[in-house]
Amino acid sequence: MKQGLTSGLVLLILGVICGIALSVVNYLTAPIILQNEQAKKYAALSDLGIDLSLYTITDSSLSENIDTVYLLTPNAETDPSIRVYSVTTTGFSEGLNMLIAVDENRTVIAYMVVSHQESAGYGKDTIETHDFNMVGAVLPDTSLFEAKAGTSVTCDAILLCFDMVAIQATLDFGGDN
Amino acid sequence: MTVKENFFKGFIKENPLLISVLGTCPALAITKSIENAIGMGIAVFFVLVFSNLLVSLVTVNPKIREKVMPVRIPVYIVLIASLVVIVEMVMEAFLPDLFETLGVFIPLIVVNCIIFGRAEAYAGDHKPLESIVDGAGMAIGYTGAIMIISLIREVFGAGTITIWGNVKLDLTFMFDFLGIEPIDMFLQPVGAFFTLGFILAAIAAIQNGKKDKATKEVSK
Repeated sequence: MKQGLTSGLVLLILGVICGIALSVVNYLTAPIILQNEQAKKYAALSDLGIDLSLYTITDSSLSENIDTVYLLTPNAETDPSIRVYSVTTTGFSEGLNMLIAVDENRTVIAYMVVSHQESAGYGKDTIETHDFNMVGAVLPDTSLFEAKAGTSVTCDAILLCFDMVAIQATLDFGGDN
Repeated sequence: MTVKENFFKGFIKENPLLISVLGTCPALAITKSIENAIGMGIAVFFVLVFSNLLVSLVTVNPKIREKVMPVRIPVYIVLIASLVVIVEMVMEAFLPDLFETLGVFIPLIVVNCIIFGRAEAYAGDHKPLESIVDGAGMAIGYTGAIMIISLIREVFGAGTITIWGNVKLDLTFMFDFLGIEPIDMFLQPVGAFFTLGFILAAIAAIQNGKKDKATKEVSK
């Protein structure tokens, strides 16, 4: 009995010492790890051409298709706020993911395809080289959208992304749908 | 055993990977580039040296030793696991890319036979300084071994030597000269098994040769 108690005490003391040591290391490294994770998470946003240093970024999950909405609140009150929607749909293959940035007036200010599984030569080339002419479009109006002949499945998927964002942006910013 | 002998025994004579064949899982999995091997080696070095030191410290005093020995296995596990978590947090904070590359093999250092083996076989019965020297020698020996495997795999598999980050030697001109492509198999798991297997076979051949030579000299 006494031996068991001593062994338990040894492990308890050791556990407490190790726990304190881990707490200290965690206290020192946790903010840096969080910073790294955020930088990685928001790296795609900077590819949209938005100067992220001007904004405070918060994000939230929405639905299966619009998996994340990044709310960019301007540090200066004069700048408009921006919402960046991460939207996923199915083109020629599953997993076509886009980022679409919309300002307070529901104007598309930038967009990009982050990842896709479209077939090489057709869908892939369309995504990488074709301009869909949606910058400046005021959602939900997508009449400016320019599809590319011969790649209707991929173009329809891209247009569907804009349509889904149009509905969500109308809910978020208000206005006619 | 002198301090020098204690330190150098882990390099070749008692190399944990190439002689004792311990810690083979990470050695096979992460040795796609020298950079990975160096990162893994640093992590193992830190954990092995400090685990040896701490195990030695808690067993060096006869009174404390008497209390610790009945529960030494959980004690060793707690100490090693704590050190590994510290390495994991520090690496995730300051070397995030390497942390991502090494992945699950960093937490798996907890169950690396080398760490536990040295704690049980050496550090538990020796003084702190001797244990540190042993741990350092073993860790350097292990790092050297995985660097050799990485070097072979990366050179033949990709035609490069990635020392750290962008510090990379491009040796693809060798393949261009020979008119062949780098052999992708070396970067696959099968390449790791082949490489380690050939190294172990070479070491066995050298040892057998030495034994034969010694036997012939004795018989003369």
